[in-house]
Amino acid sequence: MNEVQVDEERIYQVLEPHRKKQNRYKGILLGYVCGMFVYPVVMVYLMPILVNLNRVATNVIAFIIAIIGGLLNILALPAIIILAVLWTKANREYKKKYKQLIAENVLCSMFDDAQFYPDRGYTEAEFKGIHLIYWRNDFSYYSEDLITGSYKGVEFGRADIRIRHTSGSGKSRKTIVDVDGRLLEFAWRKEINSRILIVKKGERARLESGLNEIEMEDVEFNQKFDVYAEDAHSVFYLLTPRFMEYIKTLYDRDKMIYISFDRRRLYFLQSGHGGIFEPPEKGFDVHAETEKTRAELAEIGQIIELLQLDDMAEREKLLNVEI
Amino acid sequence: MVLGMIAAVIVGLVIWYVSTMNGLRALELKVEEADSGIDVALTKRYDVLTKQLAVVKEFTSHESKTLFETIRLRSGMSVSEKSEEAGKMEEVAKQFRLTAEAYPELRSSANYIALQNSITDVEEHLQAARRLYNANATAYNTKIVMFPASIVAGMIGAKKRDLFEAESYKRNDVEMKF
Repeated sequence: MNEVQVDEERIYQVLEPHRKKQNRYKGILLGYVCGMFVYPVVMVYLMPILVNLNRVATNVIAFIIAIIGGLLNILALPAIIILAVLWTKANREYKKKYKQLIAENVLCSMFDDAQFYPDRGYTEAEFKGIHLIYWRNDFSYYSEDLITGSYKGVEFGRADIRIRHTSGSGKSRKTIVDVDGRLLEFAWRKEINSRILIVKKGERARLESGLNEIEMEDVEFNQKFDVYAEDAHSVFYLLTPRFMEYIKTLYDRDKMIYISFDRRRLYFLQSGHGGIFEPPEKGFDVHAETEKTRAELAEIGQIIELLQLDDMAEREKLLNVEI
Repeated sequence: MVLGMIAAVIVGLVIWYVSTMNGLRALELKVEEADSGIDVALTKRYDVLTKQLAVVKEFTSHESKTLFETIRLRSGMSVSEKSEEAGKMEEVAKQFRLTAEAYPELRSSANYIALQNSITDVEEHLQAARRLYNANATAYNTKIVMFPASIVAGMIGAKKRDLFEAESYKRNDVEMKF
């Protein structure tokens, strides 16, 4: 793992102008819209005062009011559109810069061969191929912020995942978020010749043929999860007591976790903690943001160490032999 | 009407008896499958220990070799006998590890490093086999003592299964020598 320090000062100097720019456009846009609503209210309170002034003053003020009102109304639509476009563009640029700088710097300091693809994620076909959740035809799928790299010799991948569907019709139509979290993927180097699926208890899982339900020796684990596999021995090999404790901890934190093992790759689907590369709009502390991102990504290393995938990778390296 | 009710009760009892018996048999099968999984894991571990002995034999003590020769795996062993042999293997493995730590040239040899992969793997598989067996045996033992399945268990002669305990080898008067 690289021991590279993140250049926080440089990050701040690059990001701050972008943040201020997008905030500026946003402020102008909101100010303009508010002005359009506030203006008539001001007029209502101003009119009685105008009536009591002398004729010249009244005419001058009335003229100014009319100009302002006219500009506000006539230019309303084009102004709002232009400001909205400018703000959206500035916001997109700011987010892009943020992702590039924070994500790439933190990634490179934590992992080897780290690559960040902000506009890419796992494709729908790839996700469906993992058979993690029961797939509905009306699901809307989106994935972004793909990270790939290796930690202590173990390759991994991570991306944000969002899955939604709409229910109801007409006025009662609403969007239901089924998954809003992240997918983690790890290369598996130990010999396990079985398909394994671990889902929250009672969740409707996408089961392929040949998968049987397996009960573990941990009663609490059995109460929280359903485990399906082709071979019970492989499940007990994968789910060590320590790993089961870890999964329970994740469940208590996120309330949704799916784990799929497909002979050579291990997948975690967890809710929450997606969008870790989303920048704050108000003034931000670069150090706090990098530490927050680092804490989120540290989970990758924790899982690799917990499953001892790094030990196996290290021994392979010594032998220069593939298992 | 009365006859019909009696017939329905008898049929219900028969169905209950058959389904309970089948459930117990299914659990028993799982226990036996897990038991054979332990046999496989023990055999693999023994094979790895044999290879390990070939690598460390010039360095290890006579006592370690003697202990290794006492390990006997045969078919039809009881769970307690398997536990005992597993305990012996664990002690032998421990002595081989201590030997390797005392001889750096041995520890850094390619053969020994290659064996480390296998050793870790077979130990993890043995742990998994042990846990699987114990989980199935516990489920079976619980089922046969709980009412009303205990009635059927008694009728078919179902007996409690021993659990596979990871026993440490009982060393009486052994002194480590290199």
